[in-house]
Amino acid sequence: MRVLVVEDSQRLRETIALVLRESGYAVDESGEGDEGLWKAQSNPYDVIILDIMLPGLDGLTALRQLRQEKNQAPILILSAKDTVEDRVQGLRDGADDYLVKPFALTELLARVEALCRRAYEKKDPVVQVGSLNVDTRAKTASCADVMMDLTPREYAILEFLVLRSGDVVSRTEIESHVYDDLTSPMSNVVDRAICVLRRKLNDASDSAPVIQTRRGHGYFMEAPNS
Amino acid sequence: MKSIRNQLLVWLLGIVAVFLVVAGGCVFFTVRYVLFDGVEGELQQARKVVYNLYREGELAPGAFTRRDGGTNRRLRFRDEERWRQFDIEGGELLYQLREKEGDILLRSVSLGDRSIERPSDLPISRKSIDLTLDDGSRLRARVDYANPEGQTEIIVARDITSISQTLTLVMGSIWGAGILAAVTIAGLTIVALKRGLAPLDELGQAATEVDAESLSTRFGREDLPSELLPICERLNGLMARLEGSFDRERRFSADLAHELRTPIAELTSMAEAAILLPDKVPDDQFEKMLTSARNMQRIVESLLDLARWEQGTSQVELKEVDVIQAVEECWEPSSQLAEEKALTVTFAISPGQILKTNPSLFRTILSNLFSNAARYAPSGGQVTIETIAREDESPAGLAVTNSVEGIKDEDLEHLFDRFWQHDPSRAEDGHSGLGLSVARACAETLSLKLDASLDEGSLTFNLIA
Repeated sequence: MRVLVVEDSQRLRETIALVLRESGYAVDESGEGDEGLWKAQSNPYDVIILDIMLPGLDGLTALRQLRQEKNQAPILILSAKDTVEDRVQGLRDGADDYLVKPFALTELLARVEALCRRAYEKKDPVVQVGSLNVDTRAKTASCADVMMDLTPREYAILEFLVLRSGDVVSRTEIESHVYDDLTSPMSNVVDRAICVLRRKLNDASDSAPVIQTRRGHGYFMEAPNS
Repeated sequence: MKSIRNQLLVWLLGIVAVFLVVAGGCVFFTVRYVLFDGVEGELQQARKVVYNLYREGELAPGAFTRRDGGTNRRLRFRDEERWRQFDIEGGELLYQLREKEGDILLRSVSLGDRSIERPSDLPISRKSIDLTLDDGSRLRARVDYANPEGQTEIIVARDITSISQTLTLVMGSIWGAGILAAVTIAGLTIVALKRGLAPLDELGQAATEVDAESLSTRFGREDLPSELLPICERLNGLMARLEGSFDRERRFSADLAHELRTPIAELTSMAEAAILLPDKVPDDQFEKMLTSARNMQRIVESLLDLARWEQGTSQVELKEVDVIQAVEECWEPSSQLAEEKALTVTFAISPGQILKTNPSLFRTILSNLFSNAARYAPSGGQVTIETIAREDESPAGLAVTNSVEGIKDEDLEHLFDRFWQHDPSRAEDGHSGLGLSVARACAETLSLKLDASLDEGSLTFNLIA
């Protein structure tokens, strides 16, 4: 999952980014409103964390512009403005969530997870595909009750595939949702990670779901058991 | 409780009462004078007539009545017909002759068998006196003596019963009309006062409905009498000032909460991250936390200073301060930033300028002005610190000028507002937008004037003694 953090306090921005990265998110940062808006327009983010009072362009204007352009990325406003009017204004302008500073990092993480799940129309934090269980809270995957040993990036790709199971997911989509601005994935880095994932799934259980390749389109996993 | 309405009512009714009494009195006494003046004249004539007849020895009952229609030569007086009243029973004119302290010698037919008893103490001057007969008739009479020895007393009188009745009637009418007028005027006055004072009542009513939540209400000026307009304008001005200060306080509380929230969020999230990921946080995490804490400390201290100086409760001790030395010392902390931004800094301070002021407050003002100038001048810009000279070239104050970008004329009035920053987002170097507010509060405590002016891309702060 890829998250954009637009916050002008450097110390706060770095801390949020650190904790998000450690939780397995690909994180882009911006300290200015106009740069944040440009990034949000250029990349498909799973969640955007947006401050209101920003140099360059204020958060609410950026938010309105994104919504006008039919940008569907879930947006969480993180602001020191705490009045009911401010919160109502933020939500009415198109934000999906509003968190007032100071806040607990764990709450911010939980809200970002909830927004990601909602974006993929999943309510249960544990997503199941065949005998594969992906726990989006603990960031773990198990197959037929055998815990899989995955690197954060492998987990991120698996989670993305599972959340999009039933759809064909292109390599570019994986790249843009799993890798942040700072890492420039080489053309075969996704293929290699998929290869490793297939092997680990196979090792975990014979009944594990298969990541299929749709030549020329991308990858595909079975739809989850309802 | 004092009431304008009651006071006006009492005064107006008092004036009306005095007027009515005076007018009634005038009418009554005029009527009385007119009536009695005729009586006096007639009495005077009658006295002469009776006296003359008596002297000629012809005074007798019926003496005034002509028997043959011819002229009675003894009665060569005017109004001959009138004198016949002496000879008619119940006539208006009467006379009586009496021995001194003795029998009645003669009386007119009109007196019948009544007798006139004069009071024992006659007025010395020969004025008329009023008498009442036994049968209740009222008389006005003159008492004379028929001879110099005063042995025979002649009383000539005029019956004034009907005149008295007329006067009583006039008096009654005046009282009736007076009471009716008083009641009507009182009623009209009450109504007029009620109507006249209605705008005052409405204003008072509107004023009682004002509370802290309705400071935006203004008192209507339409249909207000001119006497109340100044009060209304004062009240509206007061309301505007109250609203303004409430707004400022409200905005200040909101700003304060807002300004403190970000450093608190930084501190808590960095601490939380250190607890969640003890191995992953960067090495300088604690330095960063310290910086956030110091920013908060600076905001709180500035606010405490502001509260102290704005309340004006602190006592300031005045000392002689060398202006050049103070400027140099206060510029020092900003000089590094000025160097980094390659600012051209010009000092033009008159040498030997000594100011009697509080050194600590004066330095606080200078430090805030200088750091503000260094911070907001664009890279490569200008900062000038110079003496403002009077016409006689004696120093009047200090001017701090820096080049600026993006500041507009309408921003000038907000420069000294607490937490106002040209760019509403917070900066990383701990500037909270309180510096200029603190500087102005300090300047006011020292009775100095601090204002700002904008001229073609350069912002000047004038500190004038």
